[in-house]
Amino acid sequence: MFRAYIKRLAQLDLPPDHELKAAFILDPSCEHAADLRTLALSSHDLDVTLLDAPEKPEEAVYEVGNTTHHWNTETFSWLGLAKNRLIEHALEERATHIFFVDSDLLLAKDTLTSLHACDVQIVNGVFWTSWVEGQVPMPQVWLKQPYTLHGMGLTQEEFLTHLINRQLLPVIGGGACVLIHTDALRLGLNYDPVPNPPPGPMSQGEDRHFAEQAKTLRIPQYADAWPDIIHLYHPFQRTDEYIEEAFDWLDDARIADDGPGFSDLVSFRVEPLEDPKLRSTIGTHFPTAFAVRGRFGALDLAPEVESALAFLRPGEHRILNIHFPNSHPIEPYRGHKKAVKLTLHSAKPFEYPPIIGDYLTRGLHT
Amino acid sequence: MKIPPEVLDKLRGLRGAVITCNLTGLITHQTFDCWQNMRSWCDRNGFHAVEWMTIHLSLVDKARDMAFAHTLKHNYDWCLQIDGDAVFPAESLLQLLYRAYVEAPQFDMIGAYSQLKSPPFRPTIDTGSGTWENVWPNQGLVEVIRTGGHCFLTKTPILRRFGPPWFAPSAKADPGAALASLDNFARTHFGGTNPLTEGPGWDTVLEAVPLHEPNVSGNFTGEDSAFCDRVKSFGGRIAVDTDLVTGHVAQKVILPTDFVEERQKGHRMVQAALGVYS
Repeated sequence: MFRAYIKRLAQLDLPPDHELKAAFILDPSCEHAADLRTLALSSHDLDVTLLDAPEKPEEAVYEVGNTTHHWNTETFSWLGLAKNRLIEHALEERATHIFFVDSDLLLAKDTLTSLHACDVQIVNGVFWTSWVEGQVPMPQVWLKQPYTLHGMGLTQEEFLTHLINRQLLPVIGGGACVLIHTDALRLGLNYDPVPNPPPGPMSQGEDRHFAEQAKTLRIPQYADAWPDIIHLYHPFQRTDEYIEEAFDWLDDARIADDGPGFSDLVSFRVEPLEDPKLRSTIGTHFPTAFAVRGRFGALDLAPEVESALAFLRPGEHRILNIHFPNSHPIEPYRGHKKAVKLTLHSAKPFEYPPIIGDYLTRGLHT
Repeated sequence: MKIPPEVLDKLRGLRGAVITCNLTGLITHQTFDCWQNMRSWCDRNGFHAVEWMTIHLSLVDKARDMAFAHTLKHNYDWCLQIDGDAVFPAESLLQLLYRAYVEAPQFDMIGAYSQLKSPPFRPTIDTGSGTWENVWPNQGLVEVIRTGGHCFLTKTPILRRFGPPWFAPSAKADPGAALASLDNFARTHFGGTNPLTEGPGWDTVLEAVPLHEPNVSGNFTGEDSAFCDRVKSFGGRIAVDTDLVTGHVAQKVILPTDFVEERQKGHRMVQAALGVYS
């Protein structure tokens, strides 16, 4: 699993003018620590640094059971220390971002570019997990501490539907796959425990403390449900066969670089070039309004946007003039043209996100 | 509204009263603003034969009766009753007078387009269904059998055909019992015969009696609907001017759902500004 993890990290698409360096802290109590160390340092495709692990108390427990995982508070505390050490390293290296990725995740190649394109300080790549085997898969982002899936103006059904539909949403917390801009870390954001986190299951998780800190510092978190991410959570998912199938799935879920076709999923960005008040409104009140995801051909778009998208390749952008008809809902726009910048981030054949897609199409199965 | 000068002069010559009736005498500030604006409009446009008053310290049906009694006492041509929580345009009186005396003089009572305060906020327009109906505004004059008392103009001749009282809330009679009572009244006053039975209409109505379903929502008709019933029964005609829309001031409890809805609306508008409509 670790081999697959490193291999995939090395294959990630990168945002323009960015390089990726990996830093790992290996669990000293892991029986395979030496092998993992060798594996990490022998990767030729990835610049890897191994950092010394913080001292791990003997009481810290982490077990992968037959149906779920088992943690305790000491483990969470140790994880928080480890992540803080990684943060220090990133700041010393003058990185622009730190990308925390748990080692049981396999990422689609466009994961990092998608998260980076969200242009926010904290964004979680969304993946789905049956936290207990046989149960309905759930996301690892939440709207209320420590793990409530309704809130922030959404019912649970609305929240899950938006995530299944690949949207970019504000959330209160997330974990395991999170891109953090170092500007947020320089404000003092880290994984230090906060006193009295909201009670509930997993409330002592280091991600919960991080979410409380982000809330206090008024740094919003987001969930980006665009990338395909597979969580190798249960033992049956950690076999070579499963991992090989997972790689095939992730790599098939990409289209050729010649632009989206009808009914493909598209992720693009529209930014106003005129109307400073609109730019300010988006930035202040609707920071995700510019990010559009959906099925090409099913989205209701201005004709100029739709026809431009059809000819864009992922990563390309175009400046358009949109003509707003007399029936437009915004009265001052009627009969006028406005320039916008359209950027296509990614496109892929329509598929539900992995794991939850199985459930949606086939239901729970043993 | 473009009205020839001679017609305006005719309307200016009509004498009447604009009256608000309620128990406490309190009106909303929105209604107060509208009153001021309408009064100011009337003064500036020569409508001086108008008395402006409120009647309070009385239950609404009695207050409305007092308004009509006052109208008749002073020999006015019309009475415009407006509720203390109504919002209306400054030219409302002119529009109602024009409808009632020029455009559609066949109507004895003309109401404005007014809506109930509770969802689904239907207008108080009953064209014959027995319920408030789904009628859109700005459809011109609509003849009705009933309308509400939120904002309505009544010509005094109809008031001389019945009442006082004009506004008593009435118990909803069983139609069979009502017909029996009417039949008995007729026979005791017309030598043992009921003239209404001589035509086909009586039998037509009798045949509909078994189809009547008792009203489970209440046994009383509001004083305004009861007034309309009596106007109709005494040969009067009623219309609603759906082009004259009056608002109904209501209290709204602001909840997070309102915030959520507004945010969602704002998000949609912002995306619409970017050419994204879904």
